[in-house]
Amino acid sequence: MFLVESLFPPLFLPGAKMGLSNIFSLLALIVLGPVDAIIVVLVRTLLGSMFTGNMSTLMYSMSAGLVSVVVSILLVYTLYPKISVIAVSVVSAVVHNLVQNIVFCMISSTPEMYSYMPYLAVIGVVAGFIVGVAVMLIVRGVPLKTLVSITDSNKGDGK
Amino acid sequence: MKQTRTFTKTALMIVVILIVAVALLPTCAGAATPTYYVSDFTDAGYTGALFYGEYFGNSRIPVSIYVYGDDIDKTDAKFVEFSSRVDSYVVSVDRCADTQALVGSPSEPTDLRRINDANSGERVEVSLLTYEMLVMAKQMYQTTDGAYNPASYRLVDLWGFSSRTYGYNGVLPYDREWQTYKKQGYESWYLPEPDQKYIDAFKTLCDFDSVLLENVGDSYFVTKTCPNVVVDGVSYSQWLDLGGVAKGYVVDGIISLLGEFGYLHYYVNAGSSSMAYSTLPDGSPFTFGFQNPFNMWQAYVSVQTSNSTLSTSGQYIRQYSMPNGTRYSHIVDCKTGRPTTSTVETVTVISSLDSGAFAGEADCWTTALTVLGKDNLKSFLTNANYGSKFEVSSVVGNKNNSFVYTNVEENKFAKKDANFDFATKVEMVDGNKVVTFDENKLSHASQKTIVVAVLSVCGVALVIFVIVKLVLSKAVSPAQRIANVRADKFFKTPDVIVYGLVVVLIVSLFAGFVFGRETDSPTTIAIECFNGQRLFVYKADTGEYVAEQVENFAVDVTQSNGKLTVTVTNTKTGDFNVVEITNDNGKATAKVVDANCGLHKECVNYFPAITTKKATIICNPHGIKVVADGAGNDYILI
Repeated sequence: MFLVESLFPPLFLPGAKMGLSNIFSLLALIVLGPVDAIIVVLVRTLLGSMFTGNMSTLMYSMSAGLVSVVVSILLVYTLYPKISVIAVSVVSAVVHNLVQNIVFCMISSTPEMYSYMPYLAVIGVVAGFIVGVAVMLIVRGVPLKTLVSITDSNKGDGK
Repeated sequence: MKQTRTFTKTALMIVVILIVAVALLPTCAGAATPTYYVSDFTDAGYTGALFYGEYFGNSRIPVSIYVYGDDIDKTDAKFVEFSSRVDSYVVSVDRCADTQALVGSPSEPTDLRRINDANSGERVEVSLLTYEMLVMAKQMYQTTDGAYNPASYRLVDLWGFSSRTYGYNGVLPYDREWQTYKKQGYESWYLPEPDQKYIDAFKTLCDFDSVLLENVGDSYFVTKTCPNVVVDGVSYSQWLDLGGVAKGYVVDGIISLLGEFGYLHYYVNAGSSSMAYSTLPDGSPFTFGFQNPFNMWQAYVSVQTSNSTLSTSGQYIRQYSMPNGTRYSHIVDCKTGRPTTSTVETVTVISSLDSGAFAGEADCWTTALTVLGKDNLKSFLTNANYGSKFEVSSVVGNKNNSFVYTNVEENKFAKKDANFDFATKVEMVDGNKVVTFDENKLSHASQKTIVVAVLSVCGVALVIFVIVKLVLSKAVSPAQRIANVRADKFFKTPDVIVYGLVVVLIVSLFAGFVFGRETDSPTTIAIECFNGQRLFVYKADTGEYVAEQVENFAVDVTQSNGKLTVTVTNTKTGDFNVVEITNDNGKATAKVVDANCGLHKECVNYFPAITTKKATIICNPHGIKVVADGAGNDYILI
């Protein structure tokens, strides 16, 4: 059920390019667990491409999304709780942008695009920071009982 | 150190545009329409004069001659006379060898037209030039064991590859109408198969030996002794076509004219399949990229060569595919009466000017080697007689599995092209070297696909690994994890390490990509498709531009207030991009100002204007990119 509800947020319009939709993947990771986070990323990129009318973006946004969520999973399960959620988010966002750029350059045979990498990394830091803060605020703001109940209901009903 | 020069087709295209413009001017009946034009050209520091003409009627063979020299320009009395002599000469070859058009004023049939119109046993008088070409054709017919066969023209016509039929519906009893079918979403044209009785009949007309050539005093005669065939009550005589020999003759004649006029540095191109060249003014060789038969905007190899003639033949140049997938090319095999099934896709033959070989000979060999097939091609390469006289490069196979066979020395390959990458597998055959290039390296695209595929597999493997690890590990219960996060601080001490690493990464990215970057303003701005196909090129120093005529694309250019507005439209899908180019005293900038590529319009809103070399704007949904001084071609693509 939660999965159905979670389908709606991914339909992000322009302006959300800064990766705000990552908020939902990170939230999913924390609240629901790694597997659900991966599913959220897959669905988000797929629907995102379909609804903005650019299926061509699917290739690199999905690969970037997957790689970055896997990186977050690795970080959360290895380094956390030693580092903050925000740090995880920053790294994840940077990785996401860089992978996106690399895959894009390879597909369009445009090595000239690589020159954007540094700027994308910086943007990733900023975006990651914002996402991290937002996630922290949501997790703190939403009552614990609600969050736990979502988890339980999800586990109980399966997918 | 030798310089590799840069060459674009810009100069040639500008001349063509001029020709089209002038050709549209009304001419009075009876007034001679010039068949050629002369122009100055500049390229990468070299200047000279250019001759350009179109001949052979419907076949429209362009002949271009680039004569290099700082002291040579189009108004030179010497060059003007040279051009006029070249034109007369090519017209005289045209008068012999053109099979379709009526040339001259008053119009009269060419020698070859009269030969073809004649019936078996009729004696036709021809010019010396025609006689010479037929003699050479006979020699090549015998040397290649019939693989090169000028008497195959009836079959060529039957299958729809003569200039009479290609693209048009004809009027002979065996003509069929061109049909279309949908192939991978777009329209593909083909000609239905001819009746077997015509194939069988016209096969008997392929005996070139039976053509009788006579020299009586100062007169020359040709008699077809091969009997006519009758199919359904209609009699058909043998048809000849001098094709490659004629183009070779054009090139050979031009070479001697160049010698006569003392022009030492030149590049001659007849119909893109027959060429000759010496060296660039500084003595360095020309660099040619041989067209990749599976990706026509790229080269499969580029070679440095000088003082030679070069001929290229390719099945992909004229072909059509049937709905069942069979491909028919214009190279017909007289033994079967059908287009050849040889796997040799393209052959390029280079012969040194010193060796005494005629350009026509190389041309015949390209056709013969295609028909003879892969094994004979390999034998040819290692044959002491031929292999040393000719340098050959060929592509054998199909799009998914192909090899390059060549006996060109490795140090002559210019490996600068980003689209070509090869590993060599050397086959030793009888002690002679046949260099075979690995098939997977032929197309850059296939190499990339492999990399992407490998990365994706790695990605998926990684995901699976993580999932398995998580399932097996002792997991913190979700409720506990949520509680942990809630209780978290925004910043923890070890964060510094993470942030530090990120900063190091960013700094190195800047160092790598930004500080080493070009700051010069662009010299050229090009609009291209992702596969490299160029749609539009703009030169910042001269303000000249070229809008290429490319299938499925319309390029519209308007100029106002010193601003160039280029609209590139994909005529099949209706996708368009509008690029604005401004030029401020040689400093050019480009920006995509409009497009219909979806909601975000990344190309319009998210990319900064191009102000430096190597900068680029990409429209991903449309597969279009705007590039300044991109990784262009360092070779002439032939």
